[in-house]
Amino acid sequence: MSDRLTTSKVGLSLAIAAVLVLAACGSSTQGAKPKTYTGTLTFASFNPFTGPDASFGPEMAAGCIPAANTINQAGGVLGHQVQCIAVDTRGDPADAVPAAQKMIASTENLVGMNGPSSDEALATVPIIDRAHLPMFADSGQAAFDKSTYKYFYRLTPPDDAAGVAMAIYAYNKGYRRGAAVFGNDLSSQGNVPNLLTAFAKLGGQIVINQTLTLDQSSYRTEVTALVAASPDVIFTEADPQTDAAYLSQLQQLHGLIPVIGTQPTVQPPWIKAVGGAVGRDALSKNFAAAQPFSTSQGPAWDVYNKALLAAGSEVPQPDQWSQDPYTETDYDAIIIMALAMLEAKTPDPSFYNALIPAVVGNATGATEVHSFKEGMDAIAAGKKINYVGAGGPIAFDEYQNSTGAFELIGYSTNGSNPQLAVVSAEDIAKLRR
Amino acid sequence: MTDAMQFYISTLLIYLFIDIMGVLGLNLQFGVAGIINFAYIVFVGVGAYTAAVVSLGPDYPGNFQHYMFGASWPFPLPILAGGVAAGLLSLVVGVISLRRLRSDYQAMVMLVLSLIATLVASNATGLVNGPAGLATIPQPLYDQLGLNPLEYQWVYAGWCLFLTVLVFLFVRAITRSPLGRTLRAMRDNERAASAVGKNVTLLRLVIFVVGGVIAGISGAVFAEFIQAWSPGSWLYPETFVFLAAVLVGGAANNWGVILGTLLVPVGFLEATRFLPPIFYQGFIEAMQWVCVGLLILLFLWFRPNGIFPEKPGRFKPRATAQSRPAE
Repeated sequence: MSDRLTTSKVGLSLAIAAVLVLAACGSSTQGAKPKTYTGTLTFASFNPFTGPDASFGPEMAAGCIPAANTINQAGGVLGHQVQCIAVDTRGDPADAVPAAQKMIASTENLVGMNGPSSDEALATVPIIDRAHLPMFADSGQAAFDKSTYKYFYRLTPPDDAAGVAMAIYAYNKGYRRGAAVFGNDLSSQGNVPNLLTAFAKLGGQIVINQTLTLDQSSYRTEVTALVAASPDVIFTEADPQTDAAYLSQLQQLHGLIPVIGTQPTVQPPWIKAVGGAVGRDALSKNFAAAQPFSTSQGPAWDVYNKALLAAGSEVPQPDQWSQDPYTETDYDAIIIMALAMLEAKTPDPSFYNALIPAVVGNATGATEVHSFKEGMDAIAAGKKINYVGAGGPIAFDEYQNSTGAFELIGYSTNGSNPQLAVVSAEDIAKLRR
Repeated sequence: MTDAMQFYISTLLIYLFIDIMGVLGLNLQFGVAGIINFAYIVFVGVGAYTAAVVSLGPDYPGNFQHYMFGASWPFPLPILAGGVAAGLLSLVVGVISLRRLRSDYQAMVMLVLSLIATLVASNATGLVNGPAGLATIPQPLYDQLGLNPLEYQWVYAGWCLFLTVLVFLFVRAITRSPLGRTLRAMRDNERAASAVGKNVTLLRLVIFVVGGVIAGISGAVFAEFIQAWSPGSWLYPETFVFLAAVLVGGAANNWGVILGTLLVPVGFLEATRFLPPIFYQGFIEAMQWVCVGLLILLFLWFRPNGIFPEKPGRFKPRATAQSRPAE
């Protein structure tokens, strides 16, 4: 009996000890020396590849792959080749949390990432930040406008800034009675609050605010209500099938009203669906879309576009992303991280993270560079660099956000997107809540 | 083991324990009582939202998210509130749908309820912040415990294990009790159960509410862990994942459904993350739902009682006057 008791006490003690050792392992601190890496370095595109926002993932991966290719062609980072992997968040926090944990735990040589998107950012940014992994989010959540996460960066404007840009453009075009017609998905709804307040502040009136249930076969009731409200402009963002059904029924019942959309309404699937439903001619006469301003020209964009078009089978239909500001900034993010690694002389994120703002900082005497190769050469020559990306100049504020102006683009029947107007960052800031 | 791997493993354990709680609740309704509840995930969602809004504090102008009835209730009240709210909703839904409708019509009502609930949560943006859902939900006792994130995560896994054991013991107590036998009798032959004087409607309602409370608690614990909850987390197909776990493990067998949970929501859905991408990015993830559907069909066809079928009850015959020894 006493032997048995002793044995169970020993067992209990061992169990407690094991728990304590485990806890001690958990509290181990970051070492002072950079981690040593062997083999290929990995960047992740952490975004929805399935679910309602499945278009986000390919758009992001289309930026990462050409960036990795240009880095590898220049000889890699500190002797390492780099690669991109896709990690599907399914656009849902509950799925994204284990996806983030799995990515961090099991991806060899993971040194940086693009993402997360708005769908899962609030749940996963703390996890990624805790893992000391620099992330360039494409999340438009206003909650990150004053982010204090050390490893969080954002090169694109928050969702609600697009709403303000739409309101300013509409008001300047002389529209005074607006209709807000947005899908009930997270991304679309992010535009609405600031659109409503900005348009009202400018002196316009939102005569009807509709939240569309996605992918219904008919929106006759909603369209009838819209026609009854007599708007002179429609503001919209919804998935391609929803807007195609809605606008074609509007065309049948009343005729089209000028429509101002957001960046997702410039995506090829949206243009194809809506253009097919209402006709390309009607599309070109009645549509404009607000998207983050990108010059889509200049030396950095030339390098980006060349690498993108040369990506071959890695990026299906690469030309569709040539002027996509999100793809451009996703490309820039990878280049920025790689240049910061060169500055830090290590791919260890804990060390190079602090130098990310420095490689885009417009410091006195910094050499302006437009590609990884140019930056690598300048750093090797002992110069300070200022990377001006495919998406334009980058300047992080104290919250590591770098957001700028918006442009309004139209559609033409030949498939191009002529620029209609530019709304400055200052004008947007004045009207944001 | 690296910290990152410990985070991942502890996350999977937490998901496993929470899913087991949820599946045990559904097993009580579907496996034991025969109620086809295609809206089960709604009660999980209600529990999660309730725990969120009573933890987040009052809403205020300028907040990045908007919701009704914000409060800052201390641990463990948000979890209990999640269970109570889901239980109350179960009562309302049960009173409406379980009294007069046969099981197949009940199933249709539940499916419709699931769709309506998601649409309401998405479109009534002032209710629980619409499609964006709620975020920054405080984790219980995080500040008070003063642990580092990894230590806290292991403690949370222990907390989930504790709750799972409680739920398991509670569910087992019901299934082994005379109530459990009555429920099985009702499931196997409703008319016969009625004929011997059992109030079938009341029994269904009771077990529907009990299952709803368990679902609500599992949702509350889940939302407090991931600190976010949105309509994308509780779309109606999620119920079918739970249902697949019940059917694969063995309906009405509590140990069986635990195995089913290990195999389907955690094992099957998580293991596929390790497969290399084929055809195009997202293909494997997209096929998961197809595979869950196939899994249900295959088990219904080839092994309808699951891996661990329900054990037939063995009861000692009650001692009769003749057989009782003389005093």
